[in-house]
Amino acid sequence: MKPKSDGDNVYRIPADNIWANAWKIAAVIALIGGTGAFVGAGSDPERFAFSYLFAFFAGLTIALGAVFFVVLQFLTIGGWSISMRRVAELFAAGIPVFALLFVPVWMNADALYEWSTHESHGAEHEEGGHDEGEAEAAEGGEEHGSTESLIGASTAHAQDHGAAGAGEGAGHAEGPAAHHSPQHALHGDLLDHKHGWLKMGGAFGWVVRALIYFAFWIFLALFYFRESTQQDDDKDMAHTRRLQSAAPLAMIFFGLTLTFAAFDWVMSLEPTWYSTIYGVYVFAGAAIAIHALIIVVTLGLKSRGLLGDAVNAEHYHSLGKMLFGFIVFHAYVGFSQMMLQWYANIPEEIVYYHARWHAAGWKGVSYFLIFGHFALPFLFLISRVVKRRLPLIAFGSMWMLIMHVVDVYWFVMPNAAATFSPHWLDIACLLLVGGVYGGVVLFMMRRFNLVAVGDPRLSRALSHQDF
Amino acid sequence: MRDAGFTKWDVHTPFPVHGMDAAMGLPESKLGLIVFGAGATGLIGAFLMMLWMNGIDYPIVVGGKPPEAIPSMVPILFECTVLLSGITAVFGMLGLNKLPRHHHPIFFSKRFERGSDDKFFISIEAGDPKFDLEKTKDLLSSLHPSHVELVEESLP
Repeated sequence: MKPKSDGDNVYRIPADNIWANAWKIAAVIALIGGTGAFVGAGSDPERFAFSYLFAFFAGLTIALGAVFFVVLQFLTIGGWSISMRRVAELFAAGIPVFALLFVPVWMNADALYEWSTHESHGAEHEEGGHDEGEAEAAEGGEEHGSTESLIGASTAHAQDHGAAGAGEGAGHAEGPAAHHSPQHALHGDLLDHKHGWLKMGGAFGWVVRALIYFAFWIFLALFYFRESTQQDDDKDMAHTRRLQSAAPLAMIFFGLTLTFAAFDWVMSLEPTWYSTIYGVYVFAGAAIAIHALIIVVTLGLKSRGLLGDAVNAEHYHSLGKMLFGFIVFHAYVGFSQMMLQWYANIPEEIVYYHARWHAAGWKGVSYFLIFGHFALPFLFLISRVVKRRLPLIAFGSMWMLIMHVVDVYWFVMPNAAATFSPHWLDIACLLLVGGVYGGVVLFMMRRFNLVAVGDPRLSRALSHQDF
Repeated sequence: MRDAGFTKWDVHTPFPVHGMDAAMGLPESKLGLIVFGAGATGLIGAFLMMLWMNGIDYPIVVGGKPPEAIPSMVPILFECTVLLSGITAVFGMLGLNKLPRHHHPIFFSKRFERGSDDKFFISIEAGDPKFDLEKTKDLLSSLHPSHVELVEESLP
């Protein structure tokens, strides 16, 4: 098939086009959301912390998905995607704004993460001054070798304090009396055990790690963006070579930083629970989100005549296939995380699913995710006809973006309130984060070509055929 | 050939030619639909099988879970869906192509070997309703091929 070219089309947004002014709409949305968030932060700071984290993470996963998409195309030397890669680059280049958006998460860390205010148990018991159990307590507090001894030590704790404080209830009441409950002792011991990672300060603590993640993501996103946009002008092959050789290492560190950011910011909301596949699960959601977003945004640009024929039904067929694949992958990972913990039914692990199934309202959300995030999109997007018909794939993609937001909600919000209780702050924070991020990306969009016209392999994308 | 209304004809080329399906007017393959049906059968069949085995016929409590618990069924549901889909895709493809076919009369043509080498062929079967010995031969000759040949279905 003879490689096509789209003439001298440079794919810029003319000043009178709606896309040139879209950033203003986004700014207004951000203002509305920001006002609500500000009010909410004052009136219900506890809820605000979680609503904001939810919105922040929903937006961040999209930006990280964009970084993934760009690096992936260079890693695989893909030709089909070149005509839409610039859109992903623009969304990736917006990631620096998330460093700013991270500040409210940092400021609210003590409300979000119970481990951030947890004192080491050994110290507490010395201050509490128990009589006969004191010596054993101090020793028990130090024994944090393996999980078996952990549980053994906690039981010993409970037995030691049983005599001194019999009848004291379970739970996290203030004061030394609360330490007598086995649950609290176990909980506290687990937090001590994880203290090496779950601590705010220190040379490699939560704050420093966050700075490292953002530094890497910003550097990576801007590196790819700068090289690609410079190539628009100088048409130099060296940019492509540089971006391709950087891709393997970039992908490895992308995976690592995304995984540990997910651990630090969302998984540690429930510090006594863990899942080793959590980073993969979050990644799968991000991959779904970016493919859906690229479909939606390029369709929007196309509808205003800004992309010519550079992105057509062939590309949407391919993007739809990728979207479908990641939807299946996400369901697979999510199910396998659940199945193992369901089967073993260990209290330490099952609390996560217990909170998302047996708490009022969350069972409905979980069912909604099973059918809305996987089963129905699977049946819808499996069809070749659907993937090639633009209104249908547009609907499917917009639906997946909504489901991604619901998915992140399901990650974060059971920690805010035991029962499923949506709050207007959730929407306000979403508007704020979405408006700021969207506004930044839309603002940048006006200054650059919407298609990577300098890419030496662009003709492959323009003549792409998917059967 | 497509516009002349033939249905039992084929094109033989040494390498795949992009766009040939559209040029020949070939309809979309039914295989996708068939495989989907097979996958759905696998899914439902596996579910009913496990529902019967674990839920009705010989319930065993494993790990304190209800015997017919759905999460424990999912790996096998997935596997049976994929199994039937895969098998059907392979044998469906072969079936729709009427394969394996041990012989086709066109192989009686001595020149046909070059079709896998450097020559391009159009073949029209006599079983086609629009086939007429003289008219079809004229139609093919009007395309100015390097050779037109009538291949008979009998031993030489």
